[in-house]
Amino acid sequence: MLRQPLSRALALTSPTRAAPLAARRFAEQVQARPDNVEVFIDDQPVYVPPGTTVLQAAAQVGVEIPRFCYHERLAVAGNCRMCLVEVEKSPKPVAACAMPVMKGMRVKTNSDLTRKAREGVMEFLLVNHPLDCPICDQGGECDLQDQSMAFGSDKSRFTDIHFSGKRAVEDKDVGPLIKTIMTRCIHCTRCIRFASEVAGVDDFGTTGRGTDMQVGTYVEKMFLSELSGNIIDLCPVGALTSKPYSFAARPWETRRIDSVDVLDPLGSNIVVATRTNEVLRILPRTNEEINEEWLADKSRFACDGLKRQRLVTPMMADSRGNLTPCEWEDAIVAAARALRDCPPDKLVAVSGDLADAESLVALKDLLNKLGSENTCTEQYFPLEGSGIDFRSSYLLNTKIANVEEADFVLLIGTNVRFEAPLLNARIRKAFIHKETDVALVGPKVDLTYDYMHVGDSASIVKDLATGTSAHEVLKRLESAKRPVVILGADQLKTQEGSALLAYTQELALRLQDKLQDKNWKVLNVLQRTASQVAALDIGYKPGVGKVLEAGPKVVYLLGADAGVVTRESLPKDAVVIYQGHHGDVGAQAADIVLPGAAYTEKRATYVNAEGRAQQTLVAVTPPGKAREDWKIIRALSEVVGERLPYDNLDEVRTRMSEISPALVSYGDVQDNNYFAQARALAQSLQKPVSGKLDVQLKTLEDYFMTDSISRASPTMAKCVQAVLKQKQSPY
Amino acid sequence: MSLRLGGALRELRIHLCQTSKQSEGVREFIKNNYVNIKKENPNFPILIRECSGVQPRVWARYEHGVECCQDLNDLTPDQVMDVLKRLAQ
Amino acid sequence: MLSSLRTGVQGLWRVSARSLQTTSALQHDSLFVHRDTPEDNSSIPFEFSPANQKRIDALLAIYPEGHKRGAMIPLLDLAQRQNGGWLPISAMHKVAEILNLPRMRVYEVATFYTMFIRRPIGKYHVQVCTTTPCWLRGSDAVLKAIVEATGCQVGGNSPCGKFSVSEVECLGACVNAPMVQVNDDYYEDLTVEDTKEIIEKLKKDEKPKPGPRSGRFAAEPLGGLTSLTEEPTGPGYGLQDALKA
Repeated sequence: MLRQPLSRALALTSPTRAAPLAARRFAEQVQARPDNVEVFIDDQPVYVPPGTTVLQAAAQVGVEIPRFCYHERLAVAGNCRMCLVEVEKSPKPVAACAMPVMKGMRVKTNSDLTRKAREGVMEFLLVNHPLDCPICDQGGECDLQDQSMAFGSDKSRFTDIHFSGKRAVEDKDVGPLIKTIMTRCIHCTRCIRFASEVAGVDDFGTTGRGTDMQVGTYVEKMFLSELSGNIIDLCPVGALTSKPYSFAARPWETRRIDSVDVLDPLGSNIVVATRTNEVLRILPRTNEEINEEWLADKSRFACDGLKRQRLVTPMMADSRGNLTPCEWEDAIVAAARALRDCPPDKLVAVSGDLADAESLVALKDLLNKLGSENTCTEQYFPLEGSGIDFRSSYLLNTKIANVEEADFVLLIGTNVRFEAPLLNARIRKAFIHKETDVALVGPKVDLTYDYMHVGDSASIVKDLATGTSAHEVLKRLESAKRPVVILGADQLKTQEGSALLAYTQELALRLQDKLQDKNWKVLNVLQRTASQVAALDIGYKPGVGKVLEAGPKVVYLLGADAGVVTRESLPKDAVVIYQGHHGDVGAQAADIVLPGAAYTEKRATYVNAEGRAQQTLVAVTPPGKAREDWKIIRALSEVVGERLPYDNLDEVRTRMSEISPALVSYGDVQDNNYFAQARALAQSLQKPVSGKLDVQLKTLEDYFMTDSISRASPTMAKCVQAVLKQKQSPY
Repeated sequence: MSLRLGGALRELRIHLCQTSKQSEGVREFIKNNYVNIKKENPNFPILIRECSGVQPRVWARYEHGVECCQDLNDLTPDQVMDVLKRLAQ
Repeated sequence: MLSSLRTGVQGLWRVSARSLQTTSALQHDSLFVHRDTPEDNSSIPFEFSPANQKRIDALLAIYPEGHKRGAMIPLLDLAQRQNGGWLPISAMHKVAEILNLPRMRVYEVATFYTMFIRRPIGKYHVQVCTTTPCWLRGSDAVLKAIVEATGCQVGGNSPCGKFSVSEVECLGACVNAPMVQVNDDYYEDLTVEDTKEIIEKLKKDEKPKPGPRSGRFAAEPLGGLTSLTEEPTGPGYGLQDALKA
């Protein structure tokens, strides 16, 4: 009945908000276990720590108290009054969401007084609520509908329509993503609290008072946050709805499939809602360890890019170099011939942003069978020193959930806000609740919280690592009990990349060795794409520079759309085979195009930035003649003559477990070690660094279109336009 | 102890568990010997892949995708070294 | 528009199977969203005068660190007074800057309180109380007289730009009803002639004598005191003998 499942309320009842133990070993700031207080909910005793509210205590017993404004992850407002319950010995009903329990409190959640209170509150809410259910997008998943059926009265006493009438409020324009029909707003203030606390953009507020109160931005302003779509989920009524999804479907018509998002490196858990083989919208799934219950805008709204610019048939370049559609047999035979005739050391495979582990494994196996070692990723990572041998060198070793527990965060060359928005939300959470301080080495960007800007030259990292820095950041780092250092993987692609990594490893290990808590890991490297970690786990060599220098003859692009491999950088007679799902940069350069499936269309494994393997499930079928990626490579291997030893997904996953068992342990994140060994090898790489650290995504308009799916999305294009337009405005 | 990796051997993958008894030898081996081996063979991929609860193994990949697997269960670090030496021939 | 449509349609349909459903439009006299106008937009700079700067420093000193936002209402009032009786959006931005708060927090406070006027207002803001006690004592006539004398519509500005007339809620001078407030002064116990006289004086930019117009000093009865006519009793008044010291 209530939107959020009871299990979530139960999981979040304790003040420390414990998530699964494996990820939250450091949650305890509570020194001694406090005495639990006994409370009676409907005559059922329950023991809760002091400080829990009546609503949370009732949830522990299994009693759901209706509410609109209360949300577990936001501050308590207590303004909707729907959670009023009768407490014995209290003359008035009490707001359960705000009242802390007292010893021996007897709460009656189903008494006459409580029921009358609920019916009364519901009646008042419905007085000013427009009769929009038939045209409202929230119908079917609306808290107001559900709670009025369950707790409201059956009769209406509102006869005032011709006199004072119902309130009507203007719609506000907050951007191309959020449709606002403010007449429906019940002033729960969840959006305001979210914008202020989680998103960090304090643009929402309540103007006016009484009947004339309006929730909005007062001045016409776009809600410039990369987490703006979450207020659509939060709004209990249809006041804030998704503009791209408006009037598209009712929730009972859609099929919901659990999956994982690949448009940013965190692998947020999502639910793909489909109807008649079309992806309608993407909603977040609660995962306490990665994305809590939020989802970044690109992951949420770029799904309409899945319908445009799709490769639906195999294509081959004709005599004039234009790609023309052909049959699968022709394309595969041509590709196989090219692969067979190519000398092994001139055969190169490049994996792109959205490649899944199954196809990466298949491609590497194929290339290895053909004698080539040139499997690369577009994204660079220094191979000197220990390179990719240790997983700890390229992962977020402090897991995403544990970043919340840090007391000092050092960001090096990364704009976490746009590279991994939900990681930034965690850091912000630590900043607000735990008074964590953040320092940034790199260009000055807006991270939605205050931080110390140490500078942007790479030599600062050297000074910090060697302990010679005069900046107070060094003192703070050394005195922190749980420091976190996050290095952006983009910084490693320059000449000085390996030196930068070496210094960061030095710094992190120096700090880690002094810590009391032996399980806390300091070093984190934030990758940029969802496929990079899996590729490095499998053994792909990061970076294409070296292989391109050698002048390859056949280049197999597995969704490589970052533009790192261009036609100009290859010899004239090179054959480029592109396998992917969008006609983007890679397909333009190709001679043979093999259409693959996007992440919503295949059951595939993606490893997120902390090394957690997760799988996407099939929500819709690939369009046209497109096929699942690993199957294409398997078919190719058959025709080439080097048949791959797996015929179904389970066999592929068995093969994956032979390569790295972490690839198939879904949902688990491993603790990675051997920092000392990595540092030992990196010591020789500590050369002087002089460059300036710069990030690719500096402001919000850079965030929206970064990979082939979001570049094809009209919604993302509208967002970029709207942000640019908002920049012209003085507000 | 020197270990020349190369020739027909293209890649070594070592699977181990971070905490179990059976992988103790492998863990020690990596802790003590990895740096030297890597220094001798700086461009050779020796992928160390930890996963909790797995049996320790080493996979050696040779030319043309031929692979060989050896179990490293309950071995001492020296025995692990021997296994690797054998695989490197 | 919808209500005129309704009356039009209802006139046409003798027997309506279903009448056109509209709601009546009950609107507030001020807008709770900001519309940029030539007089009021964020590109018009607003700076506090040096004298006001000193006042601001004194005001901020009242509030401890971390609670400086308590000074928001005094600062907004100061800005309003400096700006001739109304609060432009750039003043709200300036206050937000001084207090280091997001602008929305200032907008929220400025729109909550009706004494913050967010549109250009005349030099003399005539606020007529029309709540029950004043209404019973003839505030309608007072209001009519003001409207005629100033040529100003209720809720708007006069053509000359000197006056703005608004109907406000009870101003707390019920004993002296009917009354009006002009900027910071109360003019009480009004008759229509008094009102006209006040407006005439204001038109000439002279300050009329504030307070009751009927001859009394404040709120005391006109015919002299009806209570408190004797000297106050001393200590021990009404005490029983047994308790007298």
